[in-house]
Amino acid sequence: MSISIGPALHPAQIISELKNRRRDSVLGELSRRAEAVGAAREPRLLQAALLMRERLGPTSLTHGVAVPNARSFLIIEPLLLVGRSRRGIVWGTAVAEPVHLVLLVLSPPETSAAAHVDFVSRAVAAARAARARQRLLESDRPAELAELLREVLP
Amino acid sequence: MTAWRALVRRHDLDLLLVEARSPGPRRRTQGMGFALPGLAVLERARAQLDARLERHWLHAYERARRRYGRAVVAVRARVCQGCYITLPTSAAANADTPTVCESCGRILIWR
Repeated sequence: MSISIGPALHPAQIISELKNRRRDSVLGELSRRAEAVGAAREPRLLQAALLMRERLGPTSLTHGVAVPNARSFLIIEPLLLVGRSRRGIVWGTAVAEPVHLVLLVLSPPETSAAAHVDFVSRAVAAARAARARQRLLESDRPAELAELLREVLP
Repeated sequence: MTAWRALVRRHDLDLLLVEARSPGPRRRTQGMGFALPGLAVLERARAQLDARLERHWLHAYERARRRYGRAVVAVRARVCQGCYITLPTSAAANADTPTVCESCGRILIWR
């Protein structure tokens, strides 16, 4: 089963400038936003689940992009959240390059591992395309960002 | 840590371990550029979590996990989201206290 994400994007799923500059705090900030949009509960526990995923291996990629993700009991519906940081985020001690674009991928627990990985791969593909990534980093309005994501997400 | 929080953490950790161990999802995740060196770290974290869980919850969790794959489910409108039986009115609807579904044996979280 493939999860539909593009058409459901809402400006509230985008944080134009993240307040925090460290990975753990950023994951907390995004977890709280996931709760605020009604897609998750218990943000502190969700943050713990995301940090556990980081212990498996960092979710940062090249070009200043990170795609943290989780399948969790705490997630009510599939959700893509986007966070940007012009100043850059320190994504753990093992990652030298600062992260500027975070695509948080959340799947409810009944989602299969394969479907969740497919969801993650679509977010990764969107962030990999250089032109799309540049537009995602440079656009200034949440509504415009949401529109851009609708265009670039497969 | 309360029992329901520990059970939810264990549940989520097991989902992650399944994903990390399954050859297809693992290969695909690595193909995207994610390194996955921390399997042993997660297994240690699970052992630490188990040491903090009360024995009866751990037994109930493992029994349901072996049988169904996922051991923890939510209750919505007094319905177990694992077997979809309507729970008796005598079942305690306490958000902070997990219970076991008398029909299927899954652990119920009332939130």
